[in-house]
Amino acid sequence: MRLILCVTCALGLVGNALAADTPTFSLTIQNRAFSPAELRVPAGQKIELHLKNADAAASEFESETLHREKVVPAGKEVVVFVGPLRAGTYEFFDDFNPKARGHIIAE
Amino acid sequence: MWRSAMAWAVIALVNTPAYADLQVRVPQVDYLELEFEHNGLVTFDSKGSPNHNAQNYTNSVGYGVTPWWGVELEGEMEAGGGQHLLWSATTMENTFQITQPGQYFFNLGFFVEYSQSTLRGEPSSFTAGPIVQKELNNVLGLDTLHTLNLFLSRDVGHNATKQTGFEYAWQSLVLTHPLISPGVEFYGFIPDLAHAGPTSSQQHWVGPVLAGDVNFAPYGKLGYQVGYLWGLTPDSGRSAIRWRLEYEVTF
Repeated sequence: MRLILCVTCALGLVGNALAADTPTFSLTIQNRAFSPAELRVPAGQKIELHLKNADAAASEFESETLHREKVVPAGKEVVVFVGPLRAGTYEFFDDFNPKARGHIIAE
Repeated sequence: MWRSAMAWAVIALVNTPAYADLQVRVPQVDYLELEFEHNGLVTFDSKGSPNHNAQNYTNSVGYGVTPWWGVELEGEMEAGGGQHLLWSATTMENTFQITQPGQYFFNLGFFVEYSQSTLRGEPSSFTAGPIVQKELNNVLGLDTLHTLNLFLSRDVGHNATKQTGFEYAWQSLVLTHPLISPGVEFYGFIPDLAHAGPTSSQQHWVGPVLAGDVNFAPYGKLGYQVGYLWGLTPDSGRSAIRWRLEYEVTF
């Protein structure tokens, strides 16, 4: 058991050491819509998305092309890491309210 | 009569080779999501072999209790070759998400399972270990996902052995389309790590897998995996087919 805890900690430390500073972008969910609905980000680079839910109900940021899903509780902010992305357009939506949609343009 | 038949079935089951869970666990917790999951495994070997038509099925319900802790309650049924299915264990699985997907070089999680045997005279067990995942985007124009499980297990309770078991699972998927992503899987199981013996006495499998899901937002998501595995050692049997169906919905 000590061995597997050590392996887990070691992998975590390696991961921390290899983490690099990433550009940060913000998205707000308000009135059951994403703002902004279009976000331009650099291609070929990992980005950090700060998702703020200003509504009174929980939302779930989801994107099949970005391979991400993350619940954003009401009134809270969460962080989602995506990429590095190829140049192109990546759609995302609110899984709890699929009419709320937006896209990320990597360029 | 019924009791006698049950006793013989239990003896037969106990005498069949133990199989590792041929499943790959992921290091992510789906917070606030309720999940129903079914896993199946059927093995093939020469007729008369205990590895022929051995079956293992699990049905579970799980929930993402916090953003970093998911818990699952599972019922497990098993049958040795040519034997009747028996409810063999009730299991509680815990997944702890340690890192955010994509945050660091690896996605990291930790898995802890307690399996309470429901077969008389059979020990219960603890299983635990790290889950390591690596996303490789835009490699030769493809996005890929690689997941590794490294678990140790120990028996507890009546008739518990002093053995430490080791099992690994590795799955690499090419994320071509949400509906269908092809990949390859490796599994292995060494019942006693201290006396692992020659490779021929261990269980190792390899084979292709297809995985995908359909999103019915906001009514949930249906996911599947199906894999065919070839046994790489005599103890593994000739081949096996495994599948997973899961439905998850926010709750």
